[in-house]
Amino acid sequence: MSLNEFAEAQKTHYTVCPKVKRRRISCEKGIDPFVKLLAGKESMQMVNKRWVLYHQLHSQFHAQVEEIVHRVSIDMYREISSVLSKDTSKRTSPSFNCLFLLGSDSTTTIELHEQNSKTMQAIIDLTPKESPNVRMMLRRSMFKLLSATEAPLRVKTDEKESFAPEGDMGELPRTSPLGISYDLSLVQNFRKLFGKRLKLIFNFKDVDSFNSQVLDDFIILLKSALNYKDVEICLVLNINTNLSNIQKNLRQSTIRLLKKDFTVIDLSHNKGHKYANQTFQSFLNTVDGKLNLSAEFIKFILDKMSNNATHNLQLLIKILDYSLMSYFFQNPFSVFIDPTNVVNFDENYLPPLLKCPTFMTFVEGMVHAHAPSEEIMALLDNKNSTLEEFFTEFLVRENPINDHLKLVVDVLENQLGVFNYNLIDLYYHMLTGKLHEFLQRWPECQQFEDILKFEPVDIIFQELFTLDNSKELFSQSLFPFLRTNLENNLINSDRMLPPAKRLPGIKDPFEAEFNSSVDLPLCQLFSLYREASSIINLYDFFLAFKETLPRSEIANFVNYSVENKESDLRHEDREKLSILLKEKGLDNLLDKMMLVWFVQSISEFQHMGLLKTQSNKSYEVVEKCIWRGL
Amino acid sequence: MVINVPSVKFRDYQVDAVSSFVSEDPSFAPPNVVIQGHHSSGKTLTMRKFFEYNPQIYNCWLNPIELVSWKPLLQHVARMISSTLANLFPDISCEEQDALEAEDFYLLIKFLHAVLRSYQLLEKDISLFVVFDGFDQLQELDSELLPKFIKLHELLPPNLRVQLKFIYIVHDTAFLSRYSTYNLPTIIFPRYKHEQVAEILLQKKVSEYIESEKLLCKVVSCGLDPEDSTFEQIAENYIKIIIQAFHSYTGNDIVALGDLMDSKWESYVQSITAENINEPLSLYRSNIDLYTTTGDTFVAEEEACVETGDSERATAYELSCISKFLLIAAYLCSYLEPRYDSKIFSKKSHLRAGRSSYGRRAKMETNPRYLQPSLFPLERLFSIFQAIFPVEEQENHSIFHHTEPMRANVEVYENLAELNSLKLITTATPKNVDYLSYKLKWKVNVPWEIITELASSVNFDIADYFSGLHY
Ligand SMILES: Nc1ncnc2c1ncn2[C@@H]1O[C@H](COP(=O)(O)OP(=O)(O)O)[C@@H](O)[C@H]1O
Ligand SMILES: [Mg+2]
Repeated sequence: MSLNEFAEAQKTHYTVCPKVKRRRISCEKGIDPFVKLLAGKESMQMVNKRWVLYHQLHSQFHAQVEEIVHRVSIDMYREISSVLSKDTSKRTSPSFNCLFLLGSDSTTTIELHEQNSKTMQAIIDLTPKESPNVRMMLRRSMFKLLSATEAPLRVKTDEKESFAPEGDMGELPRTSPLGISYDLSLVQNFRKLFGKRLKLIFNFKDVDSFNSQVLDDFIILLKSALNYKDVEICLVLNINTNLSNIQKNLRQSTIRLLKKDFTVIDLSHNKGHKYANQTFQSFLNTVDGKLNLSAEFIKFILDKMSNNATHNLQLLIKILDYSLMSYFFQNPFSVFIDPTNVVNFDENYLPPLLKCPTFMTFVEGMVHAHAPSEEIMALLDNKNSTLEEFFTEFLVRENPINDHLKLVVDVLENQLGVFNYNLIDLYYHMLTGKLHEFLQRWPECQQFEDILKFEPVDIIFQELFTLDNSKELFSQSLFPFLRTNLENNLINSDRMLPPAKRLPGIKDPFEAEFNSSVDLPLCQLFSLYREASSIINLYDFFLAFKETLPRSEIANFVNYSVENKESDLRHEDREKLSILLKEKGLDNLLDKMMLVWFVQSISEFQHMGLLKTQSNKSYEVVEKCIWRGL
Repeated sequence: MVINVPSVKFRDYQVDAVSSFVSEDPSFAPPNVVIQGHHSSGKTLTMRKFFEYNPQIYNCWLNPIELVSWKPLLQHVARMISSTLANLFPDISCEEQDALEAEDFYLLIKFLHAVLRSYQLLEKDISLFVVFDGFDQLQELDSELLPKFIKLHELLPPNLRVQLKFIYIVHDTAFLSRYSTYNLPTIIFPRYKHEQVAEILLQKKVSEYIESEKLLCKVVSCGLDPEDSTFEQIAENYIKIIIQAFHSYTGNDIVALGDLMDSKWESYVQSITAENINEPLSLYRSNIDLYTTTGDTFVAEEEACVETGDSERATAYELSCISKFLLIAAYLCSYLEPRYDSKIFSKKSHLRAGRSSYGRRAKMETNPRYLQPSLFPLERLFSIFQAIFPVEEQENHSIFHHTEPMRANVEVYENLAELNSLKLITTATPKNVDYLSYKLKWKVNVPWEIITELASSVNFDIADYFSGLHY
């Protein structure tokens, strides 16, 4: 055995670098995110036009959506504050003004009507954490009440003092005989102390996580404050489960007490169909006369919305957005939505046109009707651009469905006063020719039957202008498999990181190169993880990790950062680093860094559910978590 | 020294007893008196009335339930006594003391000492009664508190002009029996009897209901002008029926019965028509639901409005289909043993579902459903979910239909997250949860009744999985 071979055999590990052939990307890319279609024959100009057109529709739609979403919150605030400010003078017995906010994530801020000088309105937020027992709850809330009361008071006295240095201090509360302590006596004596009526609003956040016993006791405690003069108490309960869940944990007598005067507001936008209907309608308006929606697409929306109970407005917007984008992305004919673009129609567009099912039926119809064969042939061959003209002619044809939809909506809302219908469902029934069925829910529609009747019609070339997805874009991209998605993101860090900025005036060569040559440690390790077998020896894994990192580049980078004052490092860090560098040497330092990265990444993998240790004691090997078939 | 005796229905004896213990002259009054009786047995009412009739007897009231713990209780005792005295004898100047300083018993004594000494100028001895209404309702009650108050008079100088007397109103007999060796004078307020409750309520509520605006409006809107006796009749009947219907539920609790009456009065009034106003029986029949449920629920109204759109309900309140199957799968995970999973859920045995497919499982001692839910990893949940989630028929080749087993996509996770936030599925560790970590174990938090109801709504026979599991 030669010395070399022997040395080779003693090595703990070998590094093999397989040569990978680079695939060449053929498609020439423009500046726009879209690529050339029609097998790459689409002109650059048309790609650009497609992009511009898409952008236009998209922003048009979103402007409207923003308005709708904005209105949602405005409506909500109005509703809440109108409940809280309702007149309570006519009550027969003292009771809480109780407001349940369903589906609330407890971030809703409560806005009050303008404060007046006679009444002090105080909002007291209580979270489950702040409320371990009644004593703490009471102390906290009284403290908050006091600080809320004193804040404006202080400002006022300051102002007064600046105007008239004497100031009438007699107006300030003479606290001494009554004293201020953090209990209900503060509420009781509020009028005496501050000379104002008091309106207390308790905002219980995340009520589901409260200890219900404590909450119950606290409400009973507050009950005695109901009898105080000049005090009004509102309870706002933010609930994200449901009412019956809360109810079952409270005492019956408490429920009776709360029930005397209570209001429920559902904050999840899906209560009723109001906002979803508005959103869908605005989408239809945006694409009106340009695009059709296929029945299956609508069914898909309906299905997915019913699968997502809490955020289905957001989901609807996302689906519509996505469909629009994917349509423009993949359909070369989308550019003709703007009919002026027809001037750029060329022979590359012809083959897909001929394959259109509606066109083929039309030709078939011509054959059956014994039309002259030259005419048919001319159409098929685009002789004297007959096909082109034919196409142009149908471009401007409108689908009557949207107009009819407006008619139906008008009848439903204005004639019959029906508002709780699902517009998307209605549209679906119209597309499938079952409008009649849908309307049966409201028997009073019968009198309008002849007006409402609707048969869907086919328009030639409509499939070119229909939002549909024959490719699996939708279910795949909108609802990706979680695990796959995670893995894909780990493989391509560009998918989750903002694109590396390549500043033109960059001075140092390292920074630019460093970004492109070194991946995140996590991603780097993941690519090794993919190649590893299901049981992984951690030491081997670490060696592989260390080996695959571009050591020299990192070394350069470290040196550069330590020396260069303009790098991102803070001053102290740089100090430390340079000391380390001096003491340990660069190699050692690099090893340390890599070890840190490695350990970090491994534990992150564990948290992501990619790796598990086999037992709690041994850390030598880890095992891949593989969810077979899931 | 005359003591007026108010009349309180059915409480003559107690009023008498009180009047013999409570007196202007401190030498005639014991330092501590206990009044014991259950909720709404008229304790507060009687005592209030008594002091109302005898304004010459000085008194002040404290509600321990509002004070939560004993430090504020002491502070309030101090504050109450000093402010009551200050109001009674405005001429006597007394140096100001901060009641908040009475944070402990010895500080309270010190405080009282200072305050009471300034009233030595008074001509004669007076007693000041401090009433604790609901002493045992203090949130942080401990057994030391009462003895300290009982002994308080021993710590104050005996020659004070103002003598403090304490009256403790207590609910709990068990609480009181701890202090039986102190030999405190105790006045017991026994529970009312059924007839007494009825009489008190009739006396109290009839006039209130006759004058209620809603009744008047309703009657006027029906175009009627009946005599006063008709009104009385209606109110009386109503009260009697409610008492009969709910007496077994509330017991002799006047407050609860009164609350129930108030809450149902409106709907009772709504059902009055020209025909039934004079016929109690038909009036009773026309709103019979009022008497069958207490109606102590927030959700009743909602259900009524949901009825209209039954198919859309899924989007509003119910769980989505995916959530339902996830929950069912979670239930199966929690209550079936993992080692039989492959036998039960693999596609092969799915063909002959039901008992026959897992006949060879070892029988268990107890029905697993009676046990605690066991923990399971997410992976198992998803695989069972995949196995039970219905796959649509092959005929439809559109991608919009699931032709292959449902896999855990983002949608599924979303639904899982929702179930988690609804607390229907919970994690084993409640805090700082890393949801994806393989260490995390889950469990279902739903009882059998709900899961069967849910399963039947998606036509899933969950009972089949549990049949023949135990002896
Ligand atoms: N003897 C009675 N006569 C009239 N009303 C009564 C009588 N006893 C009790 N009540 C009524 O029952 C309710 C509860 O009485 P309360 O004195 O507060 O009970 P307690 O203090 O024992 O809990 C009050 O509204 C009171 O008016
Ligand atoms: Mg009482």
